[in-house]
Amino acid sequence: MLRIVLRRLLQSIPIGLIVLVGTFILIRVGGGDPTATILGISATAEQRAELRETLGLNDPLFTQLLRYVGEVFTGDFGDSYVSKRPVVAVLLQALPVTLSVTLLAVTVAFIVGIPLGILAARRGGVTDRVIQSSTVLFMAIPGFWLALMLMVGFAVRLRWFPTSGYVAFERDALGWIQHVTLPVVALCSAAVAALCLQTRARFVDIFDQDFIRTLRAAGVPTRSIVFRHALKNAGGTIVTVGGLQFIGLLGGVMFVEQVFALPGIGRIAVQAATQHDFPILQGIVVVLMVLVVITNLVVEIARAAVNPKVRLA
Amino acid sequence: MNSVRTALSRPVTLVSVVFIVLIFCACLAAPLIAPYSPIDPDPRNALQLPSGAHWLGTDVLGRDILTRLLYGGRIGLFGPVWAVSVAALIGVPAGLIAGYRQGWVDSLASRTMDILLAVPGIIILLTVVSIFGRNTWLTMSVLGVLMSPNFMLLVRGETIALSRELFVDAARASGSRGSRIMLRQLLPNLVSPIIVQYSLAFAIALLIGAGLGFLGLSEPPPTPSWGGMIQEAAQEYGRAPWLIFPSGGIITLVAVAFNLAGAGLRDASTERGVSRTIRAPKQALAVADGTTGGAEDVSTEATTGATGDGAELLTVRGLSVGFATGSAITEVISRVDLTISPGEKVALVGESGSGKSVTALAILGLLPGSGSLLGGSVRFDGMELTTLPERQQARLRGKRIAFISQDPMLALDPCFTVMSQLSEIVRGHHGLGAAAARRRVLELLAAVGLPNPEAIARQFPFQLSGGMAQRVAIAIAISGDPDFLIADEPTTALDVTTQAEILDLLRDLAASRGLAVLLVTHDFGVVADFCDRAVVMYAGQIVETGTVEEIFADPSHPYTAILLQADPHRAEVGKELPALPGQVPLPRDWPQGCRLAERCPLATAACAEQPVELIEVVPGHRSRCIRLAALKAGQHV
Ligand code: SF4
Repeated sequence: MLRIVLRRLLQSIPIGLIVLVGTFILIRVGGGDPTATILGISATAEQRAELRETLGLNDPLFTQLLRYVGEVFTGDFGDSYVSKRPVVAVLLQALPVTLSVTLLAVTVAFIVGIPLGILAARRGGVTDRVIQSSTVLFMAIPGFWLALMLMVGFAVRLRWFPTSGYVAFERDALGWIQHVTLPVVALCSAAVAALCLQTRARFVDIFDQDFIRTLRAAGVPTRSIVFRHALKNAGGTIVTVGGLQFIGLLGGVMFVEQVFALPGIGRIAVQAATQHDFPILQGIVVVLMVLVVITNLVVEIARAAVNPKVRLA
Repeated sequence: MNSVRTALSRPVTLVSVVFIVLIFCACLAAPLIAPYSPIDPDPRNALQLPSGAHWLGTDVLGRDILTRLLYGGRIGLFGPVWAVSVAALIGVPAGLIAGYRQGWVDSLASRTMDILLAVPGIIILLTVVSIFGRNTWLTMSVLGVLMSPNFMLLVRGETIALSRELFVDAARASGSRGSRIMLRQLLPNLVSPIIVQYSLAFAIALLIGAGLGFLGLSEPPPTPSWGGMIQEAAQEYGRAPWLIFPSGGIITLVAVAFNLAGAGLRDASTERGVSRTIRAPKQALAVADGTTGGAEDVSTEATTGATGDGAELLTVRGLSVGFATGSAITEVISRVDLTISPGEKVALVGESGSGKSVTALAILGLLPGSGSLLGGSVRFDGMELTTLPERQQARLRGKRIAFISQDPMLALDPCFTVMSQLSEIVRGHHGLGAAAARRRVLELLAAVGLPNPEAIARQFPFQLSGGMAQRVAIAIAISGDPDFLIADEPTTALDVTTQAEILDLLRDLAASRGLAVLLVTHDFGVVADFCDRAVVMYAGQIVETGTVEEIFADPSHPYTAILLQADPHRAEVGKELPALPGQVPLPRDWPQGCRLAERCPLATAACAEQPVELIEVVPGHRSRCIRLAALKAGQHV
């Protein structure tokens, strides 16, 4: 088990390095002269030359690359071109917002999607068809559009929720719930649908298998067959799908944050993209990759926990 | 390509495809059919609701929404088309080459795809836009590269699977060049999965493309794009909430259509695949001659299992079962009668497709989902099982009626140890506490002849051998002290030595516990070795029934007769003989008259005329054949 985790970690280091180097080169080669962004158009040529020197932009590309990678590994992502604040500080401030919304969304997806999937698989008939059709719909609705409709409906018209902004949980728990509810609903709907669909498919599959018949023939109550045996057998699939959905949410949250003006990673990313604030973008690339690695590890561990074949392999 | 046709025969898929085609055509033809200019403002008509002049209303600058939707589709639809095409153009060849060449080419391609999969896509897209400006085609190209692993992994997997199939080997052996094999042999087989992947990926690219438009990172205004229109609507939601619906709605509809089309095609091709490859293994009947050791047991035992003494444990009358295929129900079991007395061992013999397993499952009340009882009664110890509520049936199962299935490696829950699944069952039967249940489980494992029960109990099913797993399954079956056991081909999946051991174990258990057994088998050797009475089934009907002794000595149906006349020296337990040419006809092809007519050497025109009834030859021995006289007269079969 520990070996699987370690191997996963070791595998992700070279991949992460390659992506890091790739984005660095992309930005340095294609991104133009950052001094214009940093100093604004009114700066003189001397000022800019001076800044180039202090930023080390006159060094060979390879030296710059080594320096950058070294800094990243010591947790220094440089300063924002625009706000001049350290990238790490900016991201650390935004991360809790994004994680609140995405973690809540994936939790809701599990809590709602799995029972719905089981229901569809066990009931069949009309229930199954209604649930399946809804999943098709919810997987197709653009998250930001759903967010917009929810905002217009529940925040603007009904005034049940604030239209925008964020309050930290530590500061005001109730306010936090109010601010994240609509974003979470908008964000999780596709993930709920995906988990529901996959759970349903897996349960239909499992209920066709011989061991279910053995259990039924031995008089094991349906409740135990569904929630103990079938659920545990479906567990591997469910956590894998859940992990993939969470990774997807990390992308989708960008759009939803934009709608509700949540000061998370996504909003910062969009702002950085329009302002050519490359250190921020690079920092976000690293943060997201780390989150993906962590997610995959959690999935791996959870899979081993439910499936003895994985654990004992 | 046939699966495309199958898919299109379903209304949902057809409607989706037609919708997709119409939308694409409408957007392409925008300059011809759009009623207004997509860009020129008309401030006097700003923010109008839908009307005859503006079917979908107007935006803040007075521009017609319908017009802008049609023009916006050029980016909204063809951006994703471009992205997914790029993904396919990279992924398909890479997957083909990696899957076909294997080795270092495969590792290189797979590692590259790993990297692309690790990239946080949306952020990279934002970075690209930030560097190179709002250029939809460039952004969509990058998205295509990021999506290429989807195609690569799919094609690689399929290629590896296909390469194992014969025709590629044959082409290789005949010296065809690799590129030729890939293009001529492999690619055509990959068309369906690639189209499926294309449409599912399209839906994703559509949503991402629209998202970028919404963030204001697609084409700069005033060029319309669907995502951009949602963005414009978002700024006016206070004054004109209507505006958010047309653009978001069209995106959703198109994404739904692509998902449905993709899913429809996938279902069509997997269904075809199933019917092509995954067939149940065919069972020919195995034959034992009447003179080997096995049959000697029969002569002594057969007399003890007298029939019809009024104390039947199980009485099945007129049992018919059907399976639903689409909206039609096909009958697969026709009016089966069966009686079993306490302690009696009855064989249900037949080839695959004869309906013997379905009969057994119907008695258990565990027909698979699409199966249903069409009629008849199943009385067990005075209770009518067909009308008994499921809850009470479940109480009977395990405690009175137990079941053993064919493949022991599939019959146990792979996620629980032997101990945990057995103890759950034992506790259910006897309401024991945890410690008592543990002791009982270990006793059971010892009772089925497993050495070292403690160690076995800690194992997961996949850690056991087939023989051990079958013993565990038998332990489960006897855990509730049942008086009736249904065993569905309990030895078929095992090797020959183990078969004999399991059969011995079952015989001992049946004797010591007074178990009645219904043994479903295709193996006459097992019948001779184990059973008192045999019921021979063919095409969903009983064709002959009697004591094993009588059936072996005096087979009274051409079907049984042929099987038993096959060369006795080749017959032994577990050995299969293809005794009759051809196979059991499918239920939907069953003839009106005798169902064996097609394969029967004694068949005459009369046989096919009307259904043949089961008649008593001598008391306790029945046969379903109108030419019994000819058979008895020794006419050659
Ligand atoms: S009824 Fe005719 S076809 Fe059928 S088994 Fe008898 S002889 Fe053969």
